[in-house]
Amino acid sequence: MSAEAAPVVVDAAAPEGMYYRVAGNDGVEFKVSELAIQQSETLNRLITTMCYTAEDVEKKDAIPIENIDGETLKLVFEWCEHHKGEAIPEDDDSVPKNVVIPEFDAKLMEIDNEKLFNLICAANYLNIKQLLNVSCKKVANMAKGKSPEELRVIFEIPTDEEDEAAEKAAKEAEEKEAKEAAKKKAAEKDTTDKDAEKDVQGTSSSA
Amino acid sequence: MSSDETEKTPAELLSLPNEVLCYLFTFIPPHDAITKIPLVCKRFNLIIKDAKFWSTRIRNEQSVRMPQCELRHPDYSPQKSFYMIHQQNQRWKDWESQRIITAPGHMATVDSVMLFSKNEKLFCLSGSRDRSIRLWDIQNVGSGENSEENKWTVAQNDTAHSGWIWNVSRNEESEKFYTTSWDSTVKEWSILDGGALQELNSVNLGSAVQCVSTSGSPNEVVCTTFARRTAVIDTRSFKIVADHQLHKKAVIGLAVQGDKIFTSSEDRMMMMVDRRMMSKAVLFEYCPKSYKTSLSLQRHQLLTSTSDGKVKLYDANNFNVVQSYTVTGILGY
Repeated sequence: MSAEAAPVVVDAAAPEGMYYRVAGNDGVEFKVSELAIQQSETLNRLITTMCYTAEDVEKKDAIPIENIDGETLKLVFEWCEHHKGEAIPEDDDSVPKNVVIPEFDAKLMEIDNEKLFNLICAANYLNIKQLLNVSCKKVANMAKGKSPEELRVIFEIPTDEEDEAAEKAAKEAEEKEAKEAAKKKAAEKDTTDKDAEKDVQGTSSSA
Repeated sequence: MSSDETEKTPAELLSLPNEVLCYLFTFIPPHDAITKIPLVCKRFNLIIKDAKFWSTRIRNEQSVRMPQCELRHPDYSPQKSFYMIHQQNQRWKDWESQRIITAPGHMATVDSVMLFSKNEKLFCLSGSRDRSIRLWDIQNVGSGENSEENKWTVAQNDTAHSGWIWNVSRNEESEKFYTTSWDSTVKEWSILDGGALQELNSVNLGSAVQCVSTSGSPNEVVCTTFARRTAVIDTRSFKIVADHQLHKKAVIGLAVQGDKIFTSSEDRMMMMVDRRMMSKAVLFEYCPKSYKTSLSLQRHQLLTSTSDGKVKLYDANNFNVVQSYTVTGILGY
C-alpha cells in the first residue's frame, strides 16, 4: 500500500470503462484507459499476461515502472490518451524515415532537451513505436544541417578532450578519497590497538 | 541541471542507450550520418564505424541480401555499400522524369559508347558504323545548344576504321584508348591537347574484332574476334603475344580482371582462362537454352545478359548462379 501521501493524479478526461493504475519511480500514479495503455506494447503484454480485472486494479498496487519519473509518464500517457485506438505502425523501410509529426505531438514536444530525451527513453522502454518515431524525428530535425560543433552545443555533448579531462578529474578525486579513507582507517586501528593495550595493562577494566 | 556531471548521469543525448541512438541515427540522412555524426564525439564515432550497424540497415531498410562472393571480398565495406545503394535508389527512383538530350553527329548506328572523366571533366567517346569516332564534352552537351563556343563534339576522326566500329575501351593509367572494327584491326589512339585524335598503333587479327578490354595486365589489351579467337596484344610492340581458340563460334562477350579472362560465345559456352595458361579453361559453363550476349565483371561478381531475356549474376570464382532476373524485351549491351 502506498504509505506516504502519494498523490493520485486523475486524468483530466476521467476515463470510462476499463482503466489501469500505473506509477512512476517517484510514486505519482496515473489512471490510464485500456485503449491508451494498448499503445504501449510492453504494458499491453503485461496486462494480457497478468489478466488484470477491474477488481485487481482497485485492490492491488499500481503497476510500478522503476526507471521513469512522474513528469515523463505524464507526457507519455497524455500522448497515449490522444492517440488511443490508433494502429501500431509497421516498420517503415524508407531512408530517412518518412514520419509526419502531427500538431498535437509537436506541441507536446515543446519541452527542453532533458525532458525530450527522457521521453525517448520512456517510449523505448514502454515500446510505443509511434511516440518513439515522432520524438526521434524531432531530434533528427533539430540536428538537420548542423555541423558537429553546433551539434555538440545543442545537445550538450562534451568534446573528447573535455570528456577525458572530466574523467581524469573524477578518477583523481576518487583516488584521493580512497587514500583519505584508508588513512582514516589506519588511524582508527592505531587508536583501538592502543586502547586495547591500555585495557590489558590496567588492573581493573570496568569502572 | 543537465550540466551536473558529478553524481547524477546528465540527461543529455549521451545518456540514451546505444540501441536508441542507433534508431535515432536512422532518421538522419545518410550523408550527414556518415560525415558529421562521427565527428561529434567518440561514442557516436564508434557506433557509425561499427560494420554491424550498416549491415543491419542494408538488410532491414534496403532489403538487400549481398551475395557471399561480395561479403567475403577484402574490400567490402557495409557503410560504403549502404551509401551507394541509397544513392542509386535516389537516382533511379524517377528516371522517367530525367532530362534526355539527343546529340546528333554520327550518320549510322552507334554501336559503342564509353564514358570517362579526365581532370574532373566528363567525356564520352562513341564509335559508329559510319566508321568514325567522336569525342563528346558532356558538360557542354548539358549546358546549352551546340555552337562554336559550346562545342558538343570536341574531336572526331571520320576515317578511323575502314569498317564498322564495334567497341571502344580506355586504359585509365595510360589514357590511351582502343577501338575494334569489322576491318579486323584493333587500333590504339590518344587524345592530344587541343583536341585531335591521333592514331598510334594498329594490328590485324585476321577477322572482325568484336570486344576489347584493358583491365588485364598492364601493357596488355585483350580482344575477341568473330573467328572464335581470343587474343592478347602487347601494347608496347602492338603484336599478338598469346591467344586461344577454345570457343566454337564468334566470341561476343569479354570481361577481364588481372590474369582472369572471361569470355562468352554464341556456342553457348562461357569460360574463364588464366592469362598465364591460355590453352585450358579454368572455369566452364555450357548453357543449352541460351548464350551470354555480354559480360560485366566487378570484384567477384560476374553479371551477364542472356539471349533469352535474362540477367544472371554469377560468382566469378566458381560460376555459381547467385541471382537471376527476367527482363522483357530484347537485350543489347
